[in-house]
Amino acid sequence: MALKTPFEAPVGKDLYVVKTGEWRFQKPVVKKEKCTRCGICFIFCPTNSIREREDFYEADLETCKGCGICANECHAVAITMEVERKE
Amino acid sequence: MSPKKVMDGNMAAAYGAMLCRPTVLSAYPITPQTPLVEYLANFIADGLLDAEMIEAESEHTVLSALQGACLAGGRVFTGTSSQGLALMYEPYIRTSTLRLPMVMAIANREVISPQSVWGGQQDAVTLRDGGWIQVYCENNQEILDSVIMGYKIAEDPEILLPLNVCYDGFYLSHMSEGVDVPSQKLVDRFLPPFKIDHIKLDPEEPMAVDPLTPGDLLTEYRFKHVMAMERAKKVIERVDHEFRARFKRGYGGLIEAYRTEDADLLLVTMGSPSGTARVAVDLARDQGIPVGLLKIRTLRPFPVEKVVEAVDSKRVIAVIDRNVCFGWGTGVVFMEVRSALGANADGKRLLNFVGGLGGSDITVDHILGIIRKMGRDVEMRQVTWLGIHDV
Repeated sequence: MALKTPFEAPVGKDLYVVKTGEWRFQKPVVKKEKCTRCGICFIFCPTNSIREREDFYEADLETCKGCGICANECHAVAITMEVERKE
Repeated sequence: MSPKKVMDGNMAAAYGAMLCRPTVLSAYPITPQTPLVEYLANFIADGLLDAEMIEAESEHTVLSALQGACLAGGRVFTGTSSQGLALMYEPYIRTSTLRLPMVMAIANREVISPQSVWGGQQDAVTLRDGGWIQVYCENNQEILDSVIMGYKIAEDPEILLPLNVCYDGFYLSHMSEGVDVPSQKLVDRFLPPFKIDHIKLDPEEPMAVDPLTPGDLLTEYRFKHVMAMERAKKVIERVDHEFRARFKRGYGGLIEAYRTEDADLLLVTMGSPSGTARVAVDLARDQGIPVGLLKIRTLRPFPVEKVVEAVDSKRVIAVIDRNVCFGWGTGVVFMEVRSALGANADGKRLLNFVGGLGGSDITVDHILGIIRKMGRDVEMRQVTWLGIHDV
């Protein structure tokens, strides 16, 4: 018997049932020097994956599903989508 | 010695609930459950019960509010009937699939149409696949005791399921009889305070409740839920034993067999007709007819193994149903018993009697007539409707 979750019911802390990061085939790469810290990527990200760093924003690849909306919205053209290959 | 009080079924349920020290109550009045809500409100007003009563605008809200209260660690109680239960359908399923242990009384009443406020088990049996444990009571003492046992079963860490204590509307809900009310001290020793470790709503420590769940995990949650229901069979029996040890009375857990040892004929009942059937069995036994009674206490989990065992040496089995099973042309208990028996039914006669709908009586004479029919070796219809066909 193979059980995947220790949870008895869909209730609990750290209950992440959908790892949207696993859907990704391309990832957003931020050119730090171009980022103006406007935060529009943060606002538009559908999976709430954008994290604020010291002087730029970038995606948390645990949940980023690689949709590219951030790259599309970025006024400063600081984000490019790069195809990922499985090692 | 505990004091004996004369009370109706609703008050028995209210006393049972009060003795379990619930922290949050919510209910919306509906015939025949209404007095239950009044009794509970009185208990709080009189300072006998320290609980919060949420006066909701509908049964849907009642159960939804109690889900939150239970998730936050509260011991919660409610009761309803018929259309009120129908309005609870959506949170009813979610309560069991979230595995929230709570007790809800159901004063069984017909479902509309046609317009009716009287007894019948159609409301609760329709929800037999809603994932709750369902206990059906024979008398008011059993109602009070089943509420107390109910929390012990529901809150068992191996179970974590909500539980219905069902009792026939008017026949029990409004019928007064002597009920032994156990002392608070005795109940406290039997039922420790509700303590739940794995789930607790706390704004300081956010958690997920019911996130979007993919099919493979949903399958796993269903599997665990179904397995908990299977484990409940053992726990219900164990709790009944513990209850008997402390309170000097018990109900057999899943089923109760009455005068079945050497019986050739077996009546099967669920709910208030069980009391009538006992009288009929005694009268028939006086005439030398070898008949016994099998009382089904839990429709869910259905006591498959116990039923197979109890029916083993019987030749004729007659199931009396206060409900119908659409699509099978029978009552629900009959359908369940027949499914449980499977090939074990070979060579036996299985008869079904549907009656007591919409408050109609199932009398001792009816049951004596059924017993006479069981003893005759003539060809007869499998399903007999009391009041429509001759008994």
